[in-house]
Amino acid sequence: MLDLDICIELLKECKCIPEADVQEICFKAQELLMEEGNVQLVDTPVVICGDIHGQLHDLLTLFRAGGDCPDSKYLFLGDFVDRGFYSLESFLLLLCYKVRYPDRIALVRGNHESRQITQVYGFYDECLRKYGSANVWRYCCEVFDYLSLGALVGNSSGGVFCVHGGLSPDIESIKQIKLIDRKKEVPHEGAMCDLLWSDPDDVPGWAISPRGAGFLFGKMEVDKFLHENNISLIARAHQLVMEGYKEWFDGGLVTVWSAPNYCYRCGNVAAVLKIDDNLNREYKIFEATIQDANAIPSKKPVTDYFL
Amino acid sequence: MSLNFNPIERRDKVIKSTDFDALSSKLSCFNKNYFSNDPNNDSSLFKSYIDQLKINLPLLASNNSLFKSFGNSKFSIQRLLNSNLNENLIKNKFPLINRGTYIRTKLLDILIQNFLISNNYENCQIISLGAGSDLRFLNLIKNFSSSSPHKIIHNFKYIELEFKESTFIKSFIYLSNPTFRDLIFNSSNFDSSLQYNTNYNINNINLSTFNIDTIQTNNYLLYPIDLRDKNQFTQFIQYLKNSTTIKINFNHPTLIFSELSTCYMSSTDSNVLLQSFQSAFPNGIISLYEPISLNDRFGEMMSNNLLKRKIFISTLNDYPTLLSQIDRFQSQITHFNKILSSDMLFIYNNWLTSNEKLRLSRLEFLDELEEWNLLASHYCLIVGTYGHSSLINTDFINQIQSLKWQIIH
Ligand SMILES: C[S@@+](CC[C@H](N)C(=O)[O-])C[C@H]1O[C@@H](n2cnc3c(N)ncnc32)[C@H](O)[C@@H]1O
Ligand SMILES: [Mn+2]
Repeated sequence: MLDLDICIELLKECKCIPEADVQEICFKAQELLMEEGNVQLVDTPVVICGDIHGQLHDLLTLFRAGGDCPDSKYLFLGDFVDRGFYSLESFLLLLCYKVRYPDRIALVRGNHESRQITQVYGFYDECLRKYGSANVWRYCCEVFDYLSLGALVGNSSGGVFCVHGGLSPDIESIKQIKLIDRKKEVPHEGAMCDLLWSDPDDVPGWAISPRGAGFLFGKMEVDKFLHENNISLIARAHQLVMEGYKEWFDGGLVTVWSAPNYCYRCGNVAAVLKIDDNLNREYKIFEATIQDANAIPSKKPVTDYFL
Repeated sequence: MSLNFNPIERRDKVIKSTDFDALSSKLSCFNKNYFSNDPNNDSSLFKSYIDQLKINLPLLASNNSLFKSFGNSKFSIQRLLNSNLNENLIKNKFPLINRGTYIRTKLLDILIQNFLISNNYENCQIISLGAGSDLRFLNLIKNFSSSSPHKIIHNFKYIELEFKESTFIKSFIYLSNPTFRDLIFNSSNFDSSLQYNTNYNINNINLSTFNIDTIQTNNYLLYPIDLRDKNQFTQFIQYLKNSTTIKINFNHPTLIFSELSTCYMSSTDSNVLLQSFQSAFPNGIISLYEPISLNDRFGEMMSNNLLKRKIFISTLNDYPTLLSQIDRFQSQITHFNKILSSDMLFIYNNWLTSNEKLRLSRLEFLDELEEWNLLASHYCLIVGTYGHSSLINTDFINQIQSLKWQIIH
């Protein structure tokens, strides 16, 4: 029998759990996520978190900064996996919380929650290395397909729309997002892709994104979206910010980044955003737990610099 | 078996082994087709070099105790080869590392091409500091040979300077492989009839007795030296003066470049070295490609992470910005006519055509944009031209000024 509390303790210690348990956790999570809308409604107060990228130790620090789950309610904006050394443990820990406390944690899909991207940026290899087969990766990818595309915090007017990347030229209202058929691999273009890939920038209207997917969108588009949907803020993640968060466009949009010292080398601090019952914003900044890339066990030699 | 090495030996081993890191990144770029159809980076030459290295180096190293120069045990060479050149281990290098390696190679290729064009390929010299396993010379001759109409190159000389362990390895590979040997010795593109030291019996290279660490032809010199050592530098200049083979003309325009090699010396050593080159070659261009810390958190982490690998890069903090690098050239090295400098990010954005950028973005999807911006802005190219304005090729300055630069001084 699956004991979630034991799994949570093991995962926090960076330990692998049996493949059968992974399968069961993924299956249960999938059943829950399946019932959720493309845009989840999340009550205040809530702690909004940006990219995690497999930095398990920093995820644990994040829970200390924001308050333990389930005491505090969490909304994660995706990019749980890839790049860091503990993508699997980080993602499974979040899934365990989800299954254990379904109403206390919400998960939104990031552009790295995709079969294609995880094969380039490390999650696939990590699963293969830790379990000797791609099964575990496959279970996780199934879960990815059921993650919602966004969330709306605070159901009164003036709420916060949350998404991993940003806006899409194909989307004017949150209602339209609800119509997307999301239960599939992230497509290369179109609304679903844009929500996970786009970035804010100082551009008039829309512009081509240098990432090769999604768009750049400017203040005009953000103001229009805020007004159209009667919300006060777009909270998104997706871009490294050295200070942990960055407000844009007179505070109409914020980037929240929650992976401190990203990739064990960027030197940035991280942040989470607390939204209280009056929709006030409070940023909590936290630093990296492990400054030392070599203290992290890894079979993969890292030469992330040019020598 | 335990071998004892003092701290200096240990530091030098790490410095010498960085050539394998550079090779490893380049191999990954070749495998991902970054250099497809690039005449300056021929993939068959590169693949042959890697194959030869993998096959012969372990034996070569154990015969000559060469392994002691790269690591602590008999297995160190094998380990270096495996961790850096094992196709399976390197297949997952991140796109930003591939892109950066590509640009790094490209920017010096572009500089060299501009130098050659501005001199009409004649009466000019190139000196590569810490050349490692760089195959630029082979690529250049291969291009000369395949150019049509057939072109004879007058007085073009290329010198590679490296630690003797590395020139030894390169000599072995160059001399034992018929393709390389032909390119080096039988190229008909050069003006004078070819002479080379006949004491290499190049038709019978033997692994167990091989002891050559220098190759010299009329156009090419691979020469062993510790560039930090002033006496060795003096000997090197003397060697050039005495040589009747390569016949260097000290007044000809000379491009002296370092692709991530002078940064491994102390700043004092590298500045003295560059001064010495300036006085030996009075008409030249000095070009360095180096990491810079920008005095920020990324730079700080970079220096910490590299230290964990026992790599100490002096210039990272001694000359942390483009401006301080320019200031270094002005105050530490001396009279430059013109100094130009850009970071790798600027070069990527401004030197590559939009078609080429499109090609790169199609090769591999690069999601690490913010990280790329950070990493790429922490490497810089600095070029200084000096010498008699009538002799130093003003065409070169015009030529490279037509490339965009962040700072022109
Ligand atoms: C990172 S590798 C770069 C090799 C080559 N320039 C490239 O970019 O592919 C640095 C090279 O500089 C050489 N080097 C560093 N210090 C040196 C010195 N004091 N004398 C001679 N060579 C040196 C090392 O042996 C090594 O091969
Ligand atoms: Mn992302």
